[in-house]
Amino acid sequence: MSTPLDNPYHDIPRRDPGVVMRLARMGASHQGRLSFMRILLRRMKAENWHFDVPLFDIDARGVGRAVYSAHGPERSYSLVLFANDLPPEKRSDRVIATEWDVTFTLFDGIPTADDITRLSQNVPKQEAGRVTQTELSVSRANRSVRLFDHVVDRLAKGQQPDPEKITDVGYLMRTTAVYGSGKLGAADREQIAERPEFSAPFQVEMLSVYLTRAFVLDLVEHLAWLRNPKQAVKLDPDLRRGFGIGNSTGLGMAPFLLNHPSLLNNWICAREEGLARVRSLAVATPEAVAKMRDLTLRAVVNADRWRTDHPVQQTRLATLKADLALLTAHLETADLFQDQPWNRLWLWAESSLGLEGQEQLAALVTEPYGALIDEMAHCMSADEAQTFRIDGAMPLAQVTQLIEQIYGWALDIDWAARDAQARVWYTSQEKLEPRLGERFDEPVAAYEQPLSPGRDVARAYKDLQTVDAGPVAEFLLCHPEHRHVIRRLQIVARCPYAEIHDNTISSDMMPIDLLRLKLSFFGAGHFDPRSDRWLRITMFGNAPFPHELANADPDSWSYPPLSDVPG
Amino acid sequence: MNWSLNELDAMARKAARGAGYSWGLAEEAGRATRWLAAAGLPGPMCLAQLLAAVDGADFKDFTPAVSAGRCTADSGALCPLLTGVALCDGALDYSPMQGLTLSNLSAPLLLLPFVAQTFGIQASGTQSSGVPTSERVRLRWAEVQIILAHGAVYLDGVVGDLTCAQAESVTLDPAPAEKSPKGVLLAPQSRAVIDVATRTCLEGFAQRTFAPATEASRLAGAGAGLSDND
Repeated sequence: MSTPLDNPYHDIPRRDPGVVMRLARMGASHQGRLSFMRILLRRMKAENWHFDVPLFDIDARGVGRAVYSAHGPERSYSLVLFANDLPPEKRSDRVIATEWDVTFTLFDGIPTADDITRLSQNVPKQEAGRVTQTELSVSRANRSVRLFDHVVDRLAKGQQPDPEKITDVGYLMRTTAVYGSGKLGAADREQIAERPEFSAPFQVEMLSVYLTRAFVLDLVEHLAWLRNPKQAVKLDPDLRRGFGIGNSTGLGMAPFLLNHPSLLNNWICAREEGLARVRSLAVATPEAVAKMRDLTLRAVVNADRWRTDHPVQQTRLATLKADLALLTAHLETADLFQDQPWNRLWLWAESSLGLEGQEQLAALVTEPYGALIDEMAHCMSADEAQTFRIDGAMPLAQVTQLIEQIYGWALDIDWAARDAQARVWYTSQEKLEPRLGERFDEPVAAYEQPLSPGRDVARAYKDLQTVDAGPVAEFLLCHPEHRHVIRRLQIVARCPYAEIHDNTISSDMMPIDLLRLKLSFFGAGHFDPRSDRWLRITMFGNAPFPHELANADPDSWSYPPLSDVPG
Repeated sequence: MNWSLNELDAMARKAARGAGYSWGLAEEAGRATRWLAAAGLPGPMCLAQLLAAVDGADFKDFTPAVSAGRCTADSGALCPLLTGVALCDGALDYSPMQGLTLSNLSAPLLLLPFVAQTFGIQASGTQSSGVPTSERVRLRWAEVQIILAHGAVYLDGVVGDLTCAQAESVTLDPAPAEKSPKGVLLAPQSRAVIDVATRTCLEGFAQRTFAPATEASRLAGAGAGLSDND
């Protein structure tokens, strides 16, 4: 029998790119069913992946090596790690660091002793080392000294750590970079993209981080036991699950969304399709409504546990809490069962909630509908080679028309104004990492990266006014300086969510908005900006550990359980 | 030491930009170099040669133009990147059936990826979407003949000519209908091998795209300054 839930067709359209692709809204994104961590755990659970630890050789100072393996239906992968005893003054989240508490690589298969020896000579050096195509990622992590020592001390004395302290930090170690896709000599994404387990984006990186979290929790228990074998205890399983793995992310990640337009489109399009499908449902079942209400209450707990010192995020967090209070009250009385209930709820939210609350709701309403949503995980990758070639036959009149349709917002900006062009994206010689400079105060304009599509389209538009009709190929022959942006225009014409509809070099642009969108697609939470251009997050908080996955719900962990609400 | 193709693509893109090409052309240089390496051909070496040759030139003088089946540029030499994208975009007055002669083409091997793209052939030997074609094309210069047919690449020739700095005359025309084209069928490669001199050259050009660091940019540019030992 067919039910409305089976119907993939819908009458509510996806949200307009002009609404969705604004930096302020991107900076209010939340994780959801299509976040890459959740795609990974759902797959590993469905396929009965199993996990083991073929090597764990760590001394009382925390120095040594270990291997954590994950076995899927066809292939195995191993996190190979090298642990260090880092002096406090060397502990830096910055890319300029040269040593870390632990360094990692995800190995394709099960490493031999020779592999481990080779990796031990390279992985601890990170950017200064080289890996090969049997390695899929390279990463590193540092201890959160606030929490790490406390947990080891308590466990060694036979006590559990202070839950309040766990909430304050959220993790025992923080990764500071996770490199994949050919970086430092690792395998290209193209080499593994055909494997079903890696067809969704960033599955290598998510698997690496998932196994890293498992190791870190094993490590504190191991160090406590080495310190005091007679008294030491293991972590209480519920308390243990509360630990995520931290990540510190900066400008290195920010240009990614601008550099991968068709990929960005596919992420957003999948998410928006999900929201449109749910909004289009004619009715909702009592089970779906109950789940949505329960998760909303858990989202309140999640917001209460979110810690940040940054004024911008503090304001946003206050908005989110106020929005969640309004939503909770509204859900108590609203009819959520019939007459397109989720669409009515959505329209109420658009006029009643701020951006944080709206985007939180966009994630929450899709939670009860795995059968409608989860299949979209297959649509989130992109073969960028397929969109690279320019259609040279496109008439200039069409080019002009497309610019006016898609980039009207950019044509409206006065690019001669200082504030409109205040920033320059450039790459530093020192670490070969993206940075953001002040165009009128620093000598960096000559090194500008092409990360301002709005301005560049406006420049091309101006030159288009000076030429006669003809194909764009002829225009490009005389104006090769517009080639990158004409390519981009043609991609965006096919992929409506490929472009950010905002000025990415203005004086008030905040890179953390770009970072938050990307990290929410990873599945991260508790965004904690440390400035306008880097932030810390927590990943896999409350998730089942590898040894628990077989008996756990792979989706229910993304909001904290209600039973944990402190007194 | 071998390289991932993504690493090569990124380095080639930066190097081309460092030598003065626009960002859009630099992207093409990255893709083209990667395509050649993925076909097992010395793309990185040819790019290094090209960049050394055009460094400091006015790129406007390299704009290709076709007259009576012959492609030339004001500078006297043709750039394979500018000529390649013009071919691929359809900006050149050229009919695939009649063919084209290119005069004084620098680093001629770099034209191959653009010919392949024009005819819808990927380095992996599969046909890419976009331009389905059953056509067989041939690219020839000196003692080199490369045939693109059946979605595959066949190479016949002399190594020295393959990587020559400039070819006086390059012809692009329909390949004769043969069951198995003459030459070696190129096998797809997943890694790039780059010799030290080539790497040094490309990295030198890429360096020009990086801004020298100052203490202020170290802190402000990345937004740090707080302690991380927490």
